[in-house]
Amino acid sequence: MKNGLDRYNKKNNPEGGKGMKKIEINPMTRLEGHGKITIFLDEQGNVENAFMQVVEFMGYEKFLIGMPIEEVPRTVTTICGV
Amino acid sequence: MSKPKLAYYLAGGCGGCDIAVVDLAEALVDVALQLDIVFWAPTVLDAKYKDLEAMPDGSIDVGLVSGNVRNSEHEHIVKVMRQKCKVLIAFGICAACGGIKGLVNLHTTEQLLDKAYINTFSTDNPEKVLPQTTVVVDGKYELTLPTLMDARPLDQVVKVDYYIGGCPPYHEHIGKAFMALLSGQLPPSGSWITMGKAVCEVCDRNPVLQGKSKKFATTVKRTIEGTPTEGACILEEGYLCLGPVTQGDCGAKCPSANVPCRGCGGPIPGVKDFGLRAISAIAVCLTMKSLLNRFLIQCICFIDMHYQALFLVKE
Repeated sequence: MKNGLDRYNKKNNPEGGKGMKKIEINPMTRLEGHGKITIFLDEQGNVENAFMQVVEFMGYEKFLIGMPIEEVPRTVTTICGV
Repeated sequence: MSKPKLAYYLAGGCGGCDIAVVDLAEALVDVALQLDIVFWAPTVLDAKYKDLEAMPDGSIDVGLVSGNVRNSEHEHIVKVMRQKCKVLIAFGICAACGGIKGLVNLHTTEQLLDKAYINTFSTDNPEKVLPQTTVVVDGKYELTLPTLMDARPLDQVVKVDYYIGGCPPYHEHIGKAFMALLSGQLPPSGSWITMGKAVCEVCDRNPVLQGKSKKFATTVKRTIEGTPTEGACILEEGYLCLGPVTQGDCGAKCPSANVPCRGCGGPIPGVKDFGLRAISAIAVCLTMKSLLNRFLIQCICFIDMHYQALFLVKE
């Protein structure tokens, strides 16, 4: 089966994205955490594609390892305080 | 006279500080009526970063930043906040000292990403794909992400005028701080907005406040090995409590719920090396030298909870 990740390559196609307009909505609001939306418009001004990205990374998976178990409840509540 | 303008930015935090402001409840109405809130993102107002960037420099009277500086986007917006705000406040312990989220500095970015995206039991990522700062989808849609950095408290990035501790700050304390701001009764720039008392000084369990003398701890215990006796000093019972060196603007809320203080209020005035002070303050409460061994082993994990203590490890 072809992997869906083939779409994401780091090499930029010089022809790609020509005449396209990019709208960035940053940040997404009224929520905890940081996200942004990028909308691509074609030459006629219609929406061609849109992406939502979460721009934040914390790392609780790693630093919780080795922590005394009694400290974990008050630590993980800071993943999201809302 | 126009109302003072307020801006609030949540950087690498959890939003708990934002909720603590909302916890002002009725007092929030009094505060909000006296303020013109021009920016509060991403949590409360529908404001975008470009709106903040478009405001004239120095046009905002008070800026609050909660959360530490963890990536290039946080760094950029925090610098914009500094330009636009006359007074900038590090709001909450993450912005002031690094907070729980500052624990990421114990590991490298590679180790953190490896655990989160590749080596967890439930992760299916055979191609070992990690977040990239730039990626082009289908050869034409270019998307960007901020660059990850070590977590830094606010004052390591920009000049900070005031600090407010707490994880999150206690709402009554926030009310007092806002009232002090509005009436212009502020301490000298660079100081903490605090009543200046330690948690022990406001703790109902403190034997000294009950007219009794303080006893030394004859044992050292973890909270999973027992439960503190109702009404007795937690530290006397041998549970490690950071009350002696922590600002008590919270009114000793954790000890009143039978939970030892973990120092989120920030260091009491005059204390810079919080971890070392905590260790020495607790060590003098022990009866026997032999207890120190057990205490120090626990200390490593327990004082780690506080980013300031990490400076001891790092420097």
